[in-house]
Amino acid sequence: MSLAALQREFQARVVAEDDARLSEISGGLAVYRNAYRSRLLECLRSSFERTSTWIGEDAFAAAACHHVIVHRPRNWTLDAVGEGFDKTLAALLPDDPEVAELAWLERSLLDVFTAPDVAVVNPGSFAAQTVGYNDADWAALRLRLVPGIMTRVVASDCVALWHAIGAGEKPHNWSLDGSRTVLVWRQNLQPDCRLLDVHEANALASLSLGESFGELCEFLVAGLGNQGVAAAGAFLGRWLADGLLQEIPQDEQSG
Amino acid sequence: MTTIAPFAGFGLGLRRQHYADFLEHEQPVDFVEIISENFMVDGGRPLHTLDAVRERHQVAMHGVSLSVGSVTGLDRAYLARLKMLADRVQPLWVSDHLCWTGIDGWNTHDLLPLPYTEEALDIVCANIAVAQDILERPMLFENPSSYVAFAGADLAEWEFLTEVTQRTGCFLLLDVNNVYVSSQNHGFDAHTYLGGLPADRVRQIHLAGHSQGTELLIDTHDTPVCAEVWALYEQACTRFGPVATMIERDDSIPPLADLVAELAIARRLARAPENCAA
Repeated sequence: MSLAALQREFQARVVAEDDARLSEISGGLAVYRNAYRSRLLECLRSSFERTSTWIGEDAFAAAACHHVIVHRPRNWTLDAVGEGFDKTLAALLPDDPEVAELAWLERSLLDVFTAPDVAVVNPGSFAAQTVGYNDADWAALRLRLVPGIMTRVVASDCVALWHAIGAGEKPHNWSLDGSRTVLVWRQNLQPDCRLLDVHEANALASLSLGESFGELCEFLVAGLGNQGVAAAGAFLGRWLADGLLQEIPQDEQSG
Repeated sequence: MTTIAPFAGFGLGLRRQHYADFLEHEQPVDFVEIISENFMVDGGRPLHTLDAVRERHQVAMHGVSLSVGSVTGLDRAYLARLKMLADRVQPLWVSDHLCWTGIDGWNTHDLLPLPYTEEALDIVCANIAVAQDILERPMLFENPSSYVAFAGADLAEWEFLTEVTQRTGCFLLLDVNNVYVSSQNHGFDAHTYLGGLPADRVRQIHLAGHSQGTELLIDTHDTPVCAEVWALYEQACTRFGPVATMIERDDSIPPLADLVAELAIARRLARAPENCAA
């Protein structure tokens, strides 16, 4: 048997799901088969600890098994096994949207943990730099978000859910009045998350499209009227404090 | 770079549970070994931690995803990321396993066994040549634990490894526990295995614990090194002389002090007068 044929046959047995083939697996081959399956499930379990706590071990194990059967592992990193697990949960548990949203949040916090490092705008330096700005300077100001930021519109307060489960508390209220947006980012080395209102979510979307602070203000004025500019200032202060803005190199600042 | 200078220190694997121990206190180790894939990321705390540890210690990079035995070849994107990490870390060496992890787009994330045939030898050597070219350095390859043996093998595992070193210029990472586990599972003589390896190509030794499965010994890395493996290590010290040695622990990870104490046993055995001759 050629090496190619041997490896295809061996791999087919290691990843087998059909009963007929599974019944043929014993001895040493079973060691590889068990290691394959248990390693993937353990990866999902450790990546989605709070989701597992929320839905219970049995339901989580069933969903995890389904996920690894449907989404075969292709990447060199085990971390990739958890990609799309929120979608698997959404399909399996359509009446419990908070489960998929909680899983998305857990996964996003993991992803942002290893996002690229950049120099973040220091609030004090920013204040000193802009102290003499006139209206035209503010309008032309360009801001850039740090890399790795993730947002998602949610129907449940998965942030509160995530905190409560982590603290060992029994969450009692995770409903929202309408949909909101969750923001996930990393402040220094620590992943963080919070819910945004619709105006801040839109303002961040505007920034991510490369629009200037002036365009962002116009956008907010259109939605909030006279309160728009004040809201832009408040958002900017919060973004600086949260470490959401990265330094823009001097040669990229114009335009 | 065409060779790897011998380095006869004693080290431990750098595991998340011990990051604070390594960052906040001096530890009596000569090097640490990292799982390469855990640090092949864009940024954040893993790389900050690694940079800080690297300021204090020599680092060996040990991978699990190269899949040098895959008949469908190597993942070039993986190798590019591995090289980026090696350029950043400037490690003692970069190692991986004599195994394959999947073909046709799968990655089983396991160290799957190879048949020790002439065809497999050609494929492994061709893949190692590609990897060493891209990394611009010779690598170390580790003997895996195995749970199946294939009919029709042309070579014993130690003969296969010897051929690989001769054809590619690579070096060996000898896992003494894996030799013991495979010898028990397949019924070969562990001492013959050690005697059959080229002494001048071994640059590192792994020591670890294993568990008794239903029928076979399993390389679980979740227990201390057992007496039989220590005895084999003594023989390895005599055969290979001063070689970098480390304790590998990946599950049921104890306090760092426990592993430091276990490493002291390795130091004592390696320095026993009867074990010092190469």
